[in-house]
Amino acid sequence: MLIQPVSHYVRIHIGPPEDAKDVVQEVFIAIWRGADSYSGQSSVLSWVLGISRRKVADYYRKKYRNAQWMTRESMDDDRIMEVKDEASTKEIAQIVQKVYWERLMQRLSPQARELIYLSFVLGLTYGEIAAIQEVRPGTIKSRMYAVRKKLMKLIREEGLT
Amino acid sequence: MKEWECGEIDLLLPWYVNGSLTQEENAQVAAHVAECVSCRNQLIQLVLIEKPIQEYWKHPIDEEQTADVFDSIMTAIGLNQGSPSSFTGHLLEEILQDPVPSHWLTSILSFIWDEILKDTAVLWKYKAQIQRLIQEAI
Repeated sequence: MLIQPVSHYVRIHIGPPEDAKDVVQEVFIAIWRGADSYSGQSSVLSWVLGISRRKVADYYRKKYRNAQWMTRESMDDDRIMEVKDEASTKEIAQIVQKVYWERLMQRLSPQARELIYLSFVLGLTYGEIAAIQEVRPGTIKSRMYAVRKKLMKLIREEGLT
Repeated sequence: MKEWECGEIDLLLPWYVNGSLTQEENAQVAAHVAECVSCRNQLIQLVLIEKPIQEYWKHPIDEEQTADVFDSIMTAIGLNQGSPSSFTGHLLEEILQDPVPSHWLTSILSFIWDEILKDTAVLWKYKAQIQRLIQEAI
């Protein structure tokens, strides 16, 4: 069922549970009403996640006028915090078991969590993710690179504390 | 075939891990990591973190909340009396209008079941009928 990925996607971006629930409902109503417009060019999952993304954007647009949630600027936060001292593979292997993932994930930006979710959990191609986020595939690849660096830094920090 | 540089390969590694690269990209990455220690280490790191990441998102969605969402959507859909939007919808409507012997239903449902699951809107609209058909068929 699509409710799981849609709920996860919405909750990555919207903290208050009631608000997230409302947005999930809006997504599914939009799917129903827009079913005829599904062209079959993308997978159903990508199409649905594209709708989810637009509904999340609508939520923030209503909530904060001129909100820039998911802009290049917000993604750059991850890039700025890029790591200098990268953990080695051996270290990662040793500490990955000790990491408290719940806390680690919360230390990542929603945009970073989204990218990780779409690729590692849903297994989407970088092209599909680019279509959902309405950017070029190259942008997704470089964003993911920055997210990986940040993730490895946090794994090292969390695993050693 | 021109060999790709480390930079190009490194950017593709997350999608090598999730198995979604094209055949050509896949072959390039596989050949490169077999030779390049640095890229291989990056790949190992990604493989190591893949499972814990998937575990993190394994938490089931709150059932009560899912039911609430489902009810609200059904209400909204109930207001929308449009025609079915897909092949599966039309097929289901035909089945429902002109009932077929129950032993046929099992094979018809098993044939279109994957399509029904993919088409969430149709699934919702016909949920009650589908359940009834399955019960009758069984």
